[in-house]
Amino acid sequence: MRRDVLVIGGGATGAGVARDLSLRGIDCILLEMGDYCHGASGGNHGLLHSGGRYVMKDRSSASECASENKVLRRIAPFCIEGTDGLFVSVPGDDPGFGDVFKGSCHAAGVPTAELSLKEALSLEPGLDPGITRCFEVEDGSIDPFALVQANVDQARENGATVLNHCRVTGIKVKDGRASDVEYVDERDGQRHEVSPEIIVNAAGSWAPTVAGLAGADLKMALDQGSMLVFDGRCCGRVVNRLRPPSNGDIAVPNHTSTILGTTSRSAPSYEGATVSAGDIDLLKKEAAVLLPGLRNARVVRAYCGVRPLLGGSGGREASRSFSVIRSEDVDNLLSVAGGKLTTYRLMAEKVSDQVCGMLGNSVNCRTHLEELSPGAVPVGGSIASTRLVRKYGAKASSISTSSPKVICSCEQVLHTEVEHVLQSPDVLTMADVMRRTRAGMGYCQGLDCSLAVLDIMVERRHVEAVPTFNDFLDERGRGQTMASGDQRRQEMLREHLLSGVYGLRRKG
Amino acid sequence: MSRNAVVVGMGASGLFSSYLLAKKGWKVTVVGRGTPASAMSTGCIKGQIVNDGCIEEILKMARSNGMPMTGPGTGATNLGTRFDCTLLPVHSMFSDRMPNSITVLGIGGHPSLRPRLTASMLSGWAPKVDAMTADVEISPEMTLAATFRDEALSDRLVEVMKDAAGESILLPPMFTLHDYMRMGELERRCGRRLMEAVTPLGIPGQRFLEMLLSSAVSSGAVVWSGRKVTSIRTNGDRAVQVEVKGGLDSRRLDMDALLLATGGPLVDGTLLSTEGISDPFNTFQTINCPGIGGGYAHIGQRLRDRSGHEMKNAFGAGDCLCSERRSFGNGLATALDDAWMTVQAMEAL
Ligand SMILES: Cc1cc2nc3c(=O)[nH]c(=O)nc-3n(C[C@H](O)[C@H](O)[C@H](O)COP(=O)(O)OP(=O)(O)OC[C@H]3O[C@@H](n4cnc5c(N)ncnc54)[C@H](O)[C@@H]3O)c2cc1C
Ligand SMILES: Cc1cc2nc3c(=O)[nH]c(=O)nc-3n(C[C@H](O)[C@H](O)[C@H](O)COP(=O)(O)OP(=O)(O)OC[C@H]3O[C@@H](n4cnc5c(N)ncnc54)[C@H](O)[C@@H]3O)c2cc1C
Repeated sequence: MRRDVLVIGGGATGAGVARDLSLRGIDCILLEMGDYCHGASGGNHGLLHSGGRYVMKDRSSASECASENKVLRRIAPFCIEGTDGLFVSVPGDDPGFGDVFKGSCHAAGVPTAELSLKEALSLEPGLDPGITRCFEVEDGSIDPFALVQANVDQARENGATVLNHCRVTGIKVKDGRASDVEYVDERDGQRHEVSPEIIVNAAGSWAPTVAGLAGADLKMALDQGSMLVFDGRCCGRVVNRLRPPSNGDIAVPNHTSTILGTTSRSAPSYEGATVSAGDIDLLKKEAAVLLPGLRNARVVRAYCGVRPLLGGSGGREASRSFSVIRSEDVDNLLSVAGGKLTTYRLMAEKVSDQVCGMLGNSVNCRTHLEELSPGAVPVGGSIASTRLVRKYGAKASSISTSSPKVICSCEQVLHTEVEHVLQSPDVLTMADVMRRTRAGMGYCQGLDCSLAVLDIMVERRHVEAVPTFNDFLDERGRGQTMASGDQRRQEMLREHLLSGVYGLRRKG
Repeated sequence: MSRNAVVVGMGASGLFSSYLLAKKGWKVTVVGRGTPASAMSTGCIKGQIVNDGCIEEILKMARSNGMPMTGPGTGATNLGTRFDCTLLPVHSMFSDRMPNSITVLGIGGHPSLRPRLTASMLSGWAPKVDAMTADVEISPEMTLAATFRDEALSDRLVEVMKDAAGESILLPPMFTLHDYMRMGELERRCGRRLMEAVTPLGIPGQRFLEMLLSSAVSSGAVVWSGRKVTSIRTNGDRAVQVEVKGGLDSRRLDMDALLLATGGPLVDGTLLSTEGISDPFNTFQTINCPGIGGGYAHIGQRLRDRSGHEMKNAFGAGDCLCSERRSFGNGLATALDDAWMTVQAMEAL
């Protein structure tokens, strides 16, 4: 099959590229080995950056974030909560830092205003009463699963082919150009071939591996960050620590939870990244300095993501900016990596510009103008419909709320919602259902609702129950929590029930 | 003159040993609080019971309480997975005579058994497995046992079960100890073999514990439930007194022998050894007992004192000994076997 462009990777970047190219009328296909957001796009903090975090060390990233923040609020309001954010310092933090921060924000074009402490504490009563300074910025929280899905949907509407659960396994190179690309479709295990003019490698942490398939060399450092999900919203705004970026600096309210992050240390590979007990202790300790309530709040999950950082060195010193690299070994291979979820659209635009140049296409980018999921407004404004719109955008209106049978009481997921999601050929596994609905992401981490989902899948999809469930437990196993107190006891009990009573075991 | 024993913990090993001790003429006070792991279990005994004498006692007790047990055998969990047991209630055992066909019966919309899912997991157990839902209106908040007690509803159920395709019907657990005997009558009325799904956190575990409790009480043990033993006083190599707290009430009990059957970390239990279990956050409670600690003796289940010497009259049984074996608990077999062996050791005092 001939195609103009093959995009490898269905994270935010790849999906953004597919959307951008298809809006410019370019024929493209996207292949994703797992589900969308299988990589960093699903394992991140969900913070729509104002740019404030980067003003000190990485001014260009900060400016990119500031302008893309505005664009995303305009084109994808349905999956964004414009919570705003605070940068807060506490006794012991460098007292002069606030002024430097203010000046740097100004220079980078990141809007900010200092609040009186009284004002700050009345906006965020959970803050430690001893805070010393507070600045307001335009942070927000974003649902990456809904965002990426909307990009996929729009790319498809404009003619792109987008396939998840399809892994690229080989790239043939002839005369310095990639010719045929082989991939395996996990639905049936079949091998297929596609012959693109240009390949966009948007495989995130796996980009060096993908480049390697074509014999090309790509240098990248992997840096892992751990995050904790707390039950309930422990703050109404994003709360950042006003100091040079460090561990446990940011708490982001998102859906029914608060996500606390992150840490930074080098990772051997995406698969090799794990959350350690030390990470959890550190995160909790640091965050409790700003929000003392977090000390005793319930952690429902710990997870980590891997940042692909371009260039040899990693860590917090490495740039959060991105680059598009045209391979020296393989002429028609473009790799894109680095950046942020917040700047995914801009990254996609830059890649697409270069693709267009190579193809001799002169259509301009329209991704900052076209709304994603236009018409996505909560009907009636009830909590249920607001939640549906935040997950499904305009498609929420096709989900019936008339017989509100709730199958996940933590996240209030409806039976009809699961049935809606199962209509999509993209959805293969229970985890795919979870990413789309949030069933299983809440307080109880899915012991009960996972059975309800499995029940519907058995009926609708005729899947085999035991392997499907085991695979789900495996995937959930990536987010093991290291809890304490009664919560640890509950975790042990859960584990015991699944393996000791039901004989369902996680691998490894 | 009869001797005083204090038993701490009202799970399987605490109650079973209280029952055995009281039968042998001890004056037993059993103190417990909280929900024991035993009541959360499936009430089906996993693992090996080593002592024939122990098995005999359990079988006898089960028979006289109207819930005969049998084994070894395999039950089906409410999810349709296999559950291999040493001993289990007769209506839970599948494997002695594998049926040719099984109907999985869900009751109303009650989530305790999802018939389609369970049937799909069970496929392969019998040549034919199908799913069926009895169309009876019950809310998830209502207990299934209450459904079954309602005469009209239970008649409806019989009618539904008469139409089942399977020669065996797998039901969600809804029979309390009091009702268990009626399963036979129900079987006759619908002409099917009735199998109860093996389920944790529900009626079967509570039923098993109820049986142990009523046996202990009727053999003369004094039961102090809802109370916690907060400290143990020792004198040389003997444990001599415990402090028991419940609400505002606080008492001291003197004793000739002490048995700790306080369960493990899975419930709010007490670990007798600090070795072998990872507890980085100091999660698990301990009883304040300056004289005892640092381990226990395997033989005769005797506890040791700080310096490693055996205590003369202090014992442990069940999950509180599990740290050196498994952090999740040893299972009912060990809890009961331990209890039985401890009683032998106490008799020899
Ligand atoms: C801990 C952490 C916290 C972060 N927090 C934030 C934040 O709060 N805000 C923010 O804006 N950004 C944040 N980021 C950054 C952001 O998550 C990433 O920059 C962004 O998600 C990268 O998207 P991507 O599409 O480039 O990569 P990925 O999402 O990793 O996508 C790559 C995809 O390629 C696929 N793939 C790989 N190999 C193959 C193959 N052979 N065939 C087919 N498919 C393949 C993978 O399955 C994967 O889905 C964070 C990152 C981390 C690690
Ligand atoms: C969900 C679940 C399912 C299980 N399923 C099975 C199964 O199907 N088959 C099987 O064989 N095993 C099963 N097990 C394991 C089995 O239940 C345990 O190994 C066994 O019940 C342990 O019995 P025990 O008497 O030692 O402790 P427990 O039953 O835990 O009893 C100890 C009691 O002592 C109380 N206590 C603790 N400290 C004090 C104190 N200081 N003062 C007063 N009281 C105190 C505790 O609160 C508790 O109530 C299961 C366990 C769980 C949790």
